[in-house]
Amino acid sequence: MDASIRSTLSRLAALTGAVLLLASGLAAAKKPTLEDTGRQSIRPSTRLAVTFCEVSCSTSFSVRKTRDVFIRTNWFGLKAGAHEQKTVLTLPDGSVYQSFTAKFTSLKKGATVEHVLPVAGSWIHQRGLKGEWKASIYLDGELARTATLKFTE
Amino acid sequence: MHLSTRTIHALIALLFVSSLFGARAHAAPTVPGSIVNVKNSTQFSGSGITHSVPVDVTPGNTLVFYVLWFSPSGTATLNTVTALGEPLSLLHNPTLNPDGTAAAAAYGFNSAGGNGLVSATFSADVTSIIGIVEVSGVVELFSTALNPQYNVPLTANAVTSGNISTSGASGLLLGFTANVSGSTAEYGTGFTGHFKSPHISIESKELLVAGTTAATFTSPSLFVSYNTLAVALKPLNPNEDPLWGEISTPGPSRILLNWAMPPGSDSSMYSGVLITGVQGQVAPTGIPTDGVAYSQGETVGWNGTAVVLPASFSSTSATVENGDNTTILPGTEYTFKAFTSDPANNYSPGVASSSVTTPTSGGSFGWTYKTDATNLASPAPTGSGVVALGGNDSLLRAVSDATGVRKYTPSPTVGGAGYSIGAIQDRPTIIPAEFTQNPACRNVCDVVYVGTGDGRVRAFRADTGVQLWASTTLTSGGGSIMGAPSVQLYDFSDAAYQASHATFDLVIVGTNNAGSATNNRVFGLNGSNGSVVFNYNRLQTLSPGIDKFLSAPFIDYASNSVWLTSYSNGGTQPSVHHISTLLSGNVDTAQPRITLPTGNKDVAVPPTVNDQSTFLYLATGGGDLVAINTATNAVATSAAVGGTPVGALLVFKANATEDWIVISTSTGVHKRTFNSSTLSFSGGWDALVPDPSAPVFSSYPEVSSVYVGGSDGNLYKISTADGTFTTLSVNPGKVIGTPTFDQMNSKIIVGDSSGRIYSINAF
Repeated sequence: MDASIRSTLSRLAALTGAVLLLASGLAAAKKPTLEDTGRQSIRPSTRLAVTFCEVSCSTSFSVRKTRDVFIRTNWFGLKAGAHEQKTVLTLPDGSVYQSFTAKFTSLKKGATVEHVLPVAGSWIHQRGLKGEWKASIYLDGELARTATLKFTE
Repeated sequence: MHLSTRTIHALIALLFVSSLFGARAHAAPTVPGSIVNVKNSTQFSGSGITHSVPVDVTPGNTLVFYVLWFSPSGTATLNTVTALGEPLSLLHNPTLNPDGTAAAAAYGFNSAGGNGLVSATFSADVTSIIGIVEVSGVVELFSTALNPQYNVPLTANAVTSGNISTSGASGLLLGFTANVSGSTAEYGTGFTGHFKSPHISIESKELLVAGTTAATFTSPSLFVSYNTLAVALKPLNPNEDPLWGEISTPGPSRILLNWAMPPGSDSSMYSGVLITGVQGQVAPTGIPTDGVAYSQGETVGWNGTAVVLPASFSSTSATVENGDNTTILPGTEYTFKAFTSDPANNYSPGVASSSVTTPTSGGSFGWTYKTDATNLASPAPTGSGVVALGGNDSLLRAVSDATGVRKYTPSPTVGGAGYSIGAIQDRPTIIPAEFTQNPACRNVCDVVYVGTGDGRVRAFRADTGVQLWASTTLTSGGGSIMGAPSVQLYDFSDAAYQASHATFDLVIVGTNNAGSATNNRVFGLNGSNGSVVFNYNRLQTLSPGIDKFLSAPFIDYASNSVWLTSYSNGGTQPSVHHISTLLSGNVDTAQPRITLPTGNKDVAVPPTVNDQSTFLYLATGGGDLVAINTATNAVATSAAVGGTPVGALLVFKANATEDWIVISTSTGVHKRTFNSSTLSFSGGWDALVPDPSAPVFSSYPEVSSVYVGGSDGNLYKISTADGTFTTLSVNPGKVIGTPTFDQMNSKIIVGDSSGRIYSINAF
């Protein structure tokens, strides 16, 4: 397989992962009246894609072989302006492993936030924290989406 | 008539008296009632310490009582107020009377009404101005606000209370203003006036919409010392209280609360409960404000009543324990009050729990402290009664080693550094005050150095959590500093070091850059201010490159050098680095590096040098134990142990030619012996502990056993003689972190994956 094909497949895999994780539309979870208050950051038209990537994007990673997991959130249809995103990673036993917080300004109603979750040398690696994890994404204090990722041996 | 203005201190108190008359579950009226009677009085000093006003209260009605007083000494306090013989609690009442202070409380006036007195008793003779309003119907308090302004110029002719928020579309706003200068305040726009005199005016307004409001008056002339109060009343809240269940004490700093929601209720009626708590056997008196959502650690009411727990509808139990916002002391009595909250955050009247006293000890367990995220790093006792805690929630904490009570309330700016510093995954490095060269802490405070998830090194005061300095971002690609900083102390270093680095301690870390396996650096930082002393591989052009550093360096004072271990970029790069600590400036020529002969050359655990500084030990990602001759930088030998190594190795000099090495890997805890004559490892024992933490000696220098945390919720004590072990269940189902043995107090301190830290009696 030549490099260009590998690259294309890699990108396709990444894109597929993103599409699978695209919110089906947060409108169903949010009543229009919330939007009417003018205070809600998540609008019926807001979409959020969450991807977990290292060399390529996946939802499953080895605790022993992975170096870092890049957690990317891509927002579409956001209210323009300043926002705060909190990403809460939860262990299979329900404990909060770590939270990341980022302030960002949404321009043209879109934004990307990336956090690096160290795996090599971390407690994930050294203590073998395997199983299904959850990543809960909050925008301005409001839960926008919960995605799952898996750590394996 | 003018009251004297010689007195500087004028104080205001307000009493709110609510008639309850039995159960609260009946339907709420749509209006809170109307004002049916107003009383006022002015009583001068010489009237004694008790000032009374006669009232005739209709059963079921509510009284709102307001008083401004002052005394020649300016020190009189309001002690008690009674209505018809019943003691009342204060909504606003200063305990002393300095300018601008007031306090408040509410009291349920469970009375059948009738003729009698409302009496205020002070600590000394005072002059008082009193207003009393009787409101028809059973009502509750929205909130109050008091705007004390003493001897300040009046602005824009307005006399305004502080803002208060109301959440309902019906209610009654009462306004009071009193002054000592004898100026008559006019009623505010939109208010109905009820009483006006040269010293006190009373008004009201119906509240038809939710939002922020205030009581306002206007003044035709200058007020000297005055005060304005707003009180918002609402129809009786029909919300029912939760029901208390068993209250128990699992440990000296933990109280387990159980409760039930009102029978027949569901989540459409109630969103959950709010629980407040105080020391002692008197129930908390603070009242949560309707429409306001509270978090743990916030206070409700005037007296600092702490919210210990907001819980969802489906929750029926929770543990209250030491944490960033809560303190539970051993051998101390506590009482709680629980309120239901509806979806609009309207609260029930509240029901008190029975009192409970925490034990002074809890069997094997002492104190606990709950952090906000997984905490598997080894805690770090400072030796001065404090334990420093890293962790995954972006905060450095310090707690008492005796009680677990926090030394400061951590926040992004205390124990943090602004926004989010990221995880602290290794044991904080403590430098005692008597040894540090940091000018702010030398002989004053211990210094804590940590590497943080945002790629910096930070120095904090151990006692206050105040950040002393932060380095620049040392990593790239969003990488972190994973290992604890190692510090070469000026006081303990030789003349060569002191000549090179006058006069500071050297803080050394390696980077964990994200997205590259070749561009990492080693930094030497000035321990006094965080400036860069040397930057090894600054140009990132060393060939071969340098992969991730994931653990703490090991400083060899004898040779003024530091050992670091790293990943190996798939085995293509050296993973052991031996760097001089006398470097300065930018260093882009290679220091001695070692390429390991093992199959897996990655090293994620720190190196350890033996007591004689003759051999360095490390373990590779493939589970190989390696010995390196420190004089020649040559690998002496290696031996397969198996599994993925965890944390630092324990090394102990067994005799003139042998070292014991105890190492944890994913397969268990292992002991091996290295013979420096034969340059070989020999077998010891293997203890099958599931995914253990790094080991720590139980005591030193006896080293008869080691402790490790297991991934099965147990703490293990393993005999160094034969590997046999005993266990203590710490938190079933959780991963137990790397323990610390506090030799001074004979305690084990350890965290777990839930974020809880435990003090455990040595066993």
